[in-house]
Amino acid sequence: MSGVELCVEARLRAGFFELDAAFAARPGVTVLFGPSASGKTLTLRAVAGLERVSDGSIRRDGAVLDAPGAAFVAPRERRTGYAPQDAALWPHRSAREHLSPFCDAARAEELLRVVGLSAHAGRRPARLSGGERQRLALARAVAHGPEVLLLDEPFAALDDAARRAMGDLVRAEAARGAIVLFVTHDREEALRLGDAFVLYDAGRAREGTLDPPPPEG
Amino acid sequence: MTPLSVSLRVVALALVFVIPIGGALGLLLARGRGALRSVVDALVLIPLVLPPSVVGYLLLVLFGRQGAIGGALERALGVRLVFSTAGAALATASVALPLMAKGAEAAFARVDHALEEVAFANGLRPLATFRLVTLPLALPGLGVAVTLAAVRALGEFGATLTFAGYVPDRTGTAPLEVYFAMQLGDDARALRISLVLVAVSIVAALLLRAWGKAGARA
Amino acid sequence: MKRGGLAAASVVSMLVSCKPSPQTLTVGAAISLKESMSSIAADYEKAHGKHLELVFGASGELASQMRRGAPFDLLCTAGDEPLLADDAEVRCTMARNTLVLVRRKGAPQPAPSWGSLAEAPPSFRLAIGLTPQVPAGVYAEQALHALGSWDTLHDKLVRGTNVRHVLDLVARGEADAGIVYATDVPIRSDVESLGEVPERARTKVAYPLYLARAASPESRALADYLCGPEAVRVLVAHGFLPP
Repeated sequence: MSGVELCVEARLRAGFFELDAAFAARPGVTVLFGPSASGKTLTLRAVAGLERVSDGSIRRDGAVLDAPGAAFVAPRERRTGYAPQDAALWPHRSAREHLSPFCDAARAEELLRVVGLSAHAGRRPARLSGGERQRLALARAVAHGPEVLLLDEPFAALDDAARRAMGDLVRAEAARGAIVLFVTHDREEALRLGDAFVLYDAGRAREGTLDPPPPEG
Repeated sequence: MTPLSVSLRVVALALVFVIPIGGALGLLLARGRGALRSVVDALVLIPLVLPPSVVGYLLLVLFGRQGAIGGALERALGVRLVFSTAGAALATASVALPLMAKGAEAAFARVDHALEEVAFANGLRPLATFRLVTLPLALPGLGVAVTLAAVRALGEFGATLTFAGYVPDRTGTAPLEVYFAMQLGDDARALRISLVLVAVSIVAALLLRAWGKAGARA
Repeated sequence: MKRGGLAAASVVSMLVSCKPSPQTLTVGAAISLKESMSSIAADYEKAHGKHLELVFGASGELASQMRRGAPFDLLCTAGDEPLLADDAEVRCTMARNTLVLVRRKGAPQPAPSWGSLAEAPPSFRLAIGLTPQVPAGVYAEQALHALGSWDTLHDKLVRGTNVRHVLDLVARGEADAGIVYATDVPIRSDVESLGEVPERARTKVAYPLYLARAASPESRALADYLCGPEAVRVLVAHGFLPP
C-alpha cells in the first residue's frame, strides 16, 4: 500500500483559465475542495489523460504520465476510473451493460446490488432518475478496480441515505488501496470522507487543512 | 440479364468498397485535425462537385488501358476495366463515396465525445470504445449515409457511360437502359424500367425516414 | 413592386428571344458529316445570309428526336431511317462512304486485317457502333456477316454510342481495332487505317437527306443546295464518294 503516490506539479489551461496545481495524493480519499469553476474538474481530466498539462508534470510512483516533451501516457494505460459530473452514461446500454465491459457478471450483479440498482439492471439511462444515474456512474468507475479513482461531485443528486451508502463504497475502495480524488464543494461531505485535502482558490491548488463549519446556533 | 440485375450487381460491388472506405474516411474527417484532414476533405468532395461525365473522363485517363493505374492493372493482373462490370462498379463507387464519407462524418461527429472520453478514462481501449460506444450511437446516421450512397449508386449514369461504356449484360444498368430504350423509341421498355426505379426510390425514402427517427430517439 | 415587374418582364423577353428567328434553319446531321457539313454551312450562310444551326449525333438518335417533335428542318443521316416516314421525305442521296478497319497508331505488330479477324484471340476487342441507332454499326455487322466472321467475333464486340466514339475507343486502346468510315480516319492523327472492307462484303453506305414535310421555302432552298454540285464538291474533298 505504501509507495503508491500520485504527484501533480503542473500548470493546466482551459481557454483563458489557468490553474497552478501542486499536490501529492496517496491511497485514501483526497478531497479536492473549492468553489465552482476553480479548476477541480480540469485537474481530474488532466490526471485521467483527457487534458494535457501546459507546464510541469503529472507523475505516478515517479513515472511520468504527462509532461511537455515527454511521452504522453494514454488514458487507457493509466488505470484510472472516472465518474464525471454529469455521469456521461451511454444512452444505448442498460445499467448492467455499463459494467459488463469492465468485470464479470458476478461482480457486476454484486456492484449493482451495492449501489441499489439491482431492480433496474436492465434499464437504460433514459429510464433512470438523476440519483440512479449518478450511482451507476460510480459503479462503472469502480467496476474494474482502478488504482486511481476520479470522482467529480458524485453525490450531488443523492439524498442523505444514498450519500452515506455510496460514501461507504468510496471508503471501501480507498481501503483497498486506491488513490481517490474526490471533488466536492460541500464542506460537511468533504470533512466526513476526506483523509487529505487539496484547496482550490484563485487559480491555485495546494494541499491544506479544512476547517469544520462554524457550529450552529 | 435484366437491367435491374445488372444494376444490383454493380451497386452491390460498389457498396462493398464504398461502405468501409467511406465509413473510415468519415471517421477521419470527424475526429481528425490538421493538414491531413483538410486534404482528405478536399479529395472526397471532388467527385461530388464535378459533373459525372467529367468524373468518367478522369477515370478513363487514370484507369483506361493507357492510364497509369489501368495500364499497370492490365500488365499485372490482365484486368481491363473499360466495358466490364468492375469498371461500372468503379465509376459508381467514385460518385457514391463522397456521400458515404460526408454522411459518416456527420454521424460520427454527432456522437458526444464525452461518452467516448469516459470510456477511455475507465480503461477501455480505442477499438473497444469504437465498438461499444461510438459505432452503436453513430448507427442511425450511418444508415442514412449508406442509403444515400446506395440510391446515388443506383441512379448513376454519366460516369458509368463515359468510363465503362455500354455493354448490355455487363454495364447496362437501369439508368443506361432507360436512356438507350428512349433513344430507340422503345417507350414501353423505358417506362417499365423507370417505374421500378421509382419503386426503389420510395423504399429508400421510407428507410431514410426510419433511420432519421431512430437517430432522433438515440 | 414596379422593379419586380420590370425584372420579370426582362426575364420573359430573354426566354422568348431564345427561340430561333425565322432566318435560322435547324439541320441535324450524322456525326461523320461534322467537318464537311460545317464547311458547307459556312459557305451557305455567307452566300445567302441565313443562319444554320447544326446538330450532330448518331443518326438513330437524331431520327428519334425528330420523331418526337424536335424542330429539325433537315436531317442528313448515314442510312435509311424508316422511323421518319411520317414526318419527312427523302430529297436525294448526298454522298456515299466506305467502311475501313482501324487501330491505334503504334500498337504492336502483327496488325489485324479484315481477313484475320475471324481468328482473333479471346482477349481481342473490336469496336463498332451500337445497333440499331448507329448506322456505321449496322453496316459493320452486315460486313462481318458477309465475311463469315460474325460467329467468332460477336462476343468480342464493344460498342460506341456514335461512330466518333468508336474512333475514340480505338485511339485509346480500349478496343484493339474498330470499324469506322473512311472519312473518319483523317480526323485523328493517332489512328491508322488497316484497309477498306473487302469487295465481297462491301455494303452500300449512303447518306439520304430528309426534308421535313411541313418545310418552309427556305428549307426547300437549302435542301436543293445540299443536293447540288457545290455541296458534293465539299463532301468529296473530305473523302466521301459522290452520290
